[in-house]
Amino acid sequence: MSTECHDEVCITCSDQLLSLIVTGVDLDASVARGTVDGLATEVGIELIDEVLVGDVLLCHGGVALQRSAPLEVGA
Amino acid sequence: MKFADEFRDADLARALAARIAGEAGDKHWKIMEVCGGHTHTIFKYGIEDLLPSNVELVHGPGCPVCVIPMGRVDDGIAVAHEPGVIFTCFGDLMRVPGSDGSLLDAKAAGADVRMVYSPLDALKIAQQNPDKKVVFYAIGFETTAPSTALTLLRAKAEGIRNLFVFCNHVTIIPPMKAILDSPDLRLDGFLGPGHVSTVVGIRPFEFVTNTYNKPVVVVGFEPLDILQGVHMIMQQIQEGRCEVENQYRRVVHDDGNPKALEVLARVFKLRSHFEWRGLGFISQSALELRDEFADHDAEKVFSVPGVRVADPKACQCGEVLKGVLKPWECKVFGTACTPETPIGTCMVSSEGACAAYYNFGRYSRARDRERVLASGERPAGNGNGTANGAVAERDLRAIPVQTR
Repeated sequence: MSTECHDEVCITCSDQLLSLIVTGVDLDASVARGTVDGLATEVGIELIDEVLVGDVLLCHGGVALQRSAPLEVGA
Repeated sequence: MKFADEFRDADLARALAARIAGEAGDKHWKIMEVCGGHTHTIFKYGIEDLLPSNVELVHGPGCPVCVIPMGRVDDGIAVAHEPGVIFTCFGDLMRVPGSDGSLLDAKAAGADVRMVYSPLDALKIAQQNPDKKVVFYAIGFETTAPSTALTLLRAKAEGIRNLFVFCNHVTIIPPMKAILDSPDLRLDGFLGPGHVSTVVGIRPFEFVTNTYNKPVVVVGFEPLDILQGVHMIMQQIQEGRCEVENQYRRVVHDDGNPKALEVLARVFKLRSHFEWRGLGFISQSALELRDEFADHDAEKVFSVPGVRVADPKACQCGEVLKGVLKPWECKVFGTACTPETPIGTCMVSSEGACAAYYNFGRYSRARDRERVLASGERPAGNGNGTANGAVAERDLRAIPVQTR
């Protein structure tokens, strides 16, 4: 990980979503707190319905864009 | 890591690559991955070298850093030098060369240029520095634009007036259309951009199937995602189908994220035209702020030069971005142009095709090139069985195999 990029991929390059595991939700501030690869961070959750602790959110540019679906192995 | 390791299974990858090789026949397949993230994955895991030589992956224009024209970089630098400005941008953009240096050079010359991970960080800087004008250089496709839009909506709601956005957001469909209209390139299908589709869904790509009769498979960013996408395109063609398929269902919904689309529509409108490096001006291919946000629009608030600057003559990023040239076929690849001293934008971002080749396949490619040039032939497109192939095997072996 360089000082500029996360996991070798620059955030600029847009098509990279980071998985955040939610550990706390502040509905008043519209943010979820959690960890990305073990690093504590927070993201905006205006674009996701009903975020709960334990959700895995896919985030980009400090904003959650999607909730990750449970994986169906073999599907 | 959950949701990732399952798609890095080395044995499955080898088996799928063998299946692709078995079904490829004698046809020369050309499949474009639109997105720079896919390009990065392809080189990081050596996927090109697992595929047979007649299945060629063509690298598309989906790296926003790579398609920024030099003049827009100069515009940003000019704003950064204005008195009282704190200029913020994502990391890679700081190294993109303008006609007279980069934003990093501007920082070294005294401009207050700061790297941020989110436009929301720029908003915080604006709150902490009410006597300064904080400018965010917005760049990226539909995946990044929602964070800019939300930042502006928050600024409006909180009455923060010293945040400005220099908007360079682009959209993915117009450049795909430009490529499809280009006489230079014959493609069999597209690996669609997985995370852009998280926002826009898969329906915007139906024009590719309906108008151009090329299949599209929206894919994820792990090695098995890419290989499965290639296989799905081949299956469509062999079965006489032409559809938009969604391989990345664990993330992408067919309708995208309606809330994100609604936010984008509130803040942005389409520009009449925008210049793309290598592709020229494309109508309605970029976003600008709606009039309600004019007070936050850096192009309206600051004096932006707006001068169009031609690319350096030695640079062949345009041909690389259209997939006409392989990066290592560029005259300056790996010599005058490297990630440390980039001439072209494709060498700047880790998702740029040139940087990906340089970082993950340079040496074998260079050897291939020297050998082929010495023989007087045109370089072949794929190095299956080369030293690079050995690197790919090693990389896949290094990936933990899942027990099921």
